[in-house]
Amino acid sequence: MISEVPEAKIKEAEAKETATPGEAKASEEKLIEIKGLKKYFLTKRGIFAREMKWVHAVDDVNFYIRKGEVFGLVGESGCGKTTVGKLILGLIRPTAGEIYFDGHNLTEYNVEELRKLRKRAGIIYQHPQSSLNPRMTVHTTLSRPMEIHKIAEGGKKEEIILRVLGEVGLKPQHLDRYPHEFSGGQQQRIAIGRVLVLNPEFVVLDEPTSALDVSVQAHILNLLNELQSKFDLTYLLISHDLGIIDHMSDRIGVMYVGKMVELADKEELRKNALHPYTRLLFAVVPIVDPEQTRKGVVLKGEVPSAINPPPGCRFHPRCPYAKPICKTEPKFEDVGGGHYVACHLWRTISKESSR
Amino acid sequence: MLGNKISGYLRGLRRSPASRYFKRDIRAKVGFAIVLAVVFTAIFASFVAPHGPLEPHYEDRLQGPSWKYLMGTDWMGRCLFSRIIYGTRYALAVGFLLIAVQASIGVPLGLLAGYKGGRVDNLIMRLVDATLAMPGLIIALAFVALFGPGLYKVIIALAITGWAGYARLMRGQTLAVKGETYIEAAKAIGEKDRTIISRYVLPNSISPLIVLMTMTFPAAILLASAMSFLGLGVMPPEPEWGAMLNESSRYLGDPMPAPLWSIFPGIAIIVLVLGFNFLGDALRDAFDPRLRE
Amino acid sequence: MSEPLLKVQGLKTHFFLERGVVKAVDGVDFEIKKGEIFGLVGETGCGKSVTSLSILRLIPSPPGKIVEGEVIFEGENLLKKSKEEMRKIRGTKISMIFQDPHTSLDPVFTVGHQIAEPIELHQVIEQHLISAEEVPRKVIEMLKLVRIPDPEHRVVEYPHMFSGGMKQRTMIAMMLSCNPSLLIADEPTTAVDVTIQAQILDLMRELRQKLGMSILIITHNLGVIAEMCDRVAVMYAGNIVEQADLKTLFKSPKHPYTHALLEAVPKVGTKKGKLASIPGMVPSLITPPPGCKFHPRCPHAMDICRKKFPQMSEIEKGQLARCFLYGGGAKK
Repeated sequence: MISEVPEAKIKEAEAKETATPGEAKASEEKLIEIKGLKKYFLTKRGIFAREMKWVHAVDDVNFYIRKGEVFGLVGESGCGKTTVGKLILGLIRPTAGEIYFDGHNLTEYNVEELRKLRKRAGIIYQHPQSSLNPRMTVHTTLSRPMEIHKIAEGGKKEEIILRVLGEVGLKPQHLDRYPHEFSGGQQQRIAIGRVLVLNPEFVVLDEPTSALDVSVQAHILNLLNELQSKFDLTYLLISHDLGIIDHMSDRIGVMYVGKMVELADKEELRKNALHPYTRLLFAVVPIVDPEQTRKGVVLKGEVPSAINPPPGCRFHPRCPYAKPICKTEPKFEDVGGGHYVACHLWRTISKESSR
Repeated sequence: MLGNKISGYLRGLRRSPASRYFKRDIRAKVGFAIVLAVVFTAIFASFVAPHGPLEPHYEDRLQGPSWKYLMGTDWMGRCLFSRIIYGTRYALAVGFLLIAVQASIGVPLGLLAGYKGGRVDNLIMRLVDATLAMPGLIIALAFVALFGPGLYKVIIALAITGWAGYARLMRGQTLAVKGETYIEAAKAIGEKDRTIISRYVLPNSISPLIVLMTMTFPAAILLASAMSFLGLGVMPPEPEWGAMLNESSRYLGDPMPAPLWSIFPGIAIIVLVLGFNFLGDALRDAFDPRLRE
Repeated sequence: MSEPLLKVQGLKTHFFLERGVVKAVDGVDFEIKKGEIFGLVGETGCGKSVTSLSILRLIPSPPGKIVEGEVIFEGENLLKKSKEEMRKIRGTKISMIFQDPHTSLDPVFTVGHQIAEPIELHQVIEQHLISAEEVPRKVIEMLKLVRIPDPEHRVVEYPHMFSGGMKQRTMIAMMLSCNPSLLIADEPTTAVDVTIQAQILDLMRELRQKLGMSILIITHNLGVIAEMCDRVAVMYAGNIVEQADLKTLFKSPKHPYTHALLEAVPKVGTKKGKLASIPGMVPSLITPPPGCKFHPRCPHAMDICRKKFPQMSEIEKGQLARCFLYGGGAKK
């Protein structure tokens, strides 16, 4: 009974197959909207430490993801990008703020309602090997999601498993094997299959290829792209690699120490980055072309800790443009055309670069 | 269904590097052979033993080994060889039952403590600490003194303190496994806590559990024999090895010396304990990837 | 040209496992000139790290063994040295920094203590270059060199008080303290963030100028290679398949594998679409395919590729490739 839904969706998807990948235009409809999202973790430092400290992992983040688009979230380790992904899926509960999934406020959901949401949203992790239960065969790994949500049984289930197996580029003889018998790339395909059997609408890709080699990475990224257009998926792609983010995404959000500092369409961000941190990020990416040299930006200082973040703009201690005003909190403001930036000085910076 | 799961697990085990390492280990072979032989003997005791364990032969009291009585006879003319053969049943029963009781208390508590954390964890672990602080054998002696001797009472008496080790091990394992990404991945596909514990945490912590079981087996046999020897466990005339030692201790010297009567049950205990120790060590090494290759 | 600083010839390092012999490095030749930054690039399991460990004779044995070849360093074959002689070379003439700065420093000693150790051992005790009293000054000097802020105070701190980037710079300070003539950097920036990566790469380039040493960089990151190296060798399944100076290699790669590898990297500013990818998987190092090891995945595979193992041949000046498309030493 319930199984008819995915069936219909797959047919629809197959009909769409002829469309060129990557050209599917994202609609204006918002699938996910986040308002004032905060997540603070409590930490104890040292064994005898009496004082508890708050880690401001995610601190007042606002954005939305359109249906059918790939939203890229880029930033360095500890900037809170992974936490955002897990918050959206309800795998951790936020300290404050609202998360809307298809119009419903997830923060008001109870455990059982969140569990039902898992049918519509999945996640792919960075380390494929540790994201698969070593004691489960590929067959069990792929059937579990359908058993949990009672989507299909018996022959129907086997049919879906075989179809998904084909989609992710594995073979039926792999079904009886255990995760450790596969290479990293194949393990990631299994993990993708585990998400795909539920026919979800939204998938969080948390550094999906960071643990893989360049040539395998290309395979997986191509596969993810293909599946996105084929099954009408919406992705939140989390990565520290600007190359991957830029290649895959439609819109990009840049995070720094718990804050989103800039958000724009991919082309806009590449051509007209306003936040000094975004500019820095683009500048330090090693260019795979010895003819072009990296701009000689040598950055002083280290990424601040999220336990005691600097007041105001968190980038100001490292920022070449910093002024006294930067010690106050900047607004995340719209500069036009869906380009948002959290910087007091973006007007000056923008003028300076256009000169 | 359960059979399927077990065979699946064994299949996974067979292909793992642990099994390859295990197969090469000489201790594993010796230990496995001893344990297998003892289990076999216990099952087919009535076919292996030439005489009944309680069958007296008053004309052949306190004899040395002969073709009729391979290990001689005791003060009632009972065949020692046959009694030792039947004794394997007691040894194995004590071992298996004790481990079963200890594990069925300790494992769920440990899983719960590790998985839930917080107050539940605190409560269970303080209980474990308190239990581990108690001297096990003395508690067991007191228990038997209160409720009287007997096989089942000995097992309960020893389980009172023995479960704590299992709880502690399982908690540690659970904590380690809980940090793995596949546990979060399981939540992300909508698994319930109960299923996560039974299908994700438990199967992935089973290796050290098996090791602990094989390692506590000989201790259980020794403790139970000691209790019987003290006259608090299985009582004569049952052919329990400890009880046999108890009976024979009066015949170690004059006026009627029969030292072999003490020596044979002693050897039996040593061989079985050694067998399980070998097996336990080999399993522990095989499961520890740092000791491989 | 002057004599190269390091010359690796016909190096073969195999691992003897129960499953079979893993031919991790199976005939590798290259040289590094004085003051040069040489890059060894390839994917997991291509043998690049084993090559660097073989140079320092740090291969775990058993099961590993250097079965053939020569490693000529400053005119002497390192593979013929005694254990004691090798120990003296490591850390003084050849130093190595590893991928993960978090695990390569000992958490129970202060940073200063750890930098002082090789200085005391090699320069004070073995070579009598400086006296014991001078060691603290030298330690602070090294920390200054790698731009640790406030070195006089930070010298007594423990590694956990340092960030990842500072730890990696401390490692570099430790490794440079005895003025090595060759620094081997095995994935030096894989575990750190991009902004920190930029700092470390800049630092390494600057130190090369200042101290005049040669650097061997081992990485899978083509961006790091493009930014740092003078010459590059690409490894695949235990062999070098192409070697050239940096610009030539990136501009006109000759070996199909090099070509595919360069195409497969997602770059900033490219259109969304299909990335070029290499079909199939990295071959087994126990039973590699016959002939050219890349032929099952190669779009240009010919008959000869399946039968004969190609030799390195010079295609243009300074550019060598192991491929039959360019002769492949077929006549030899």
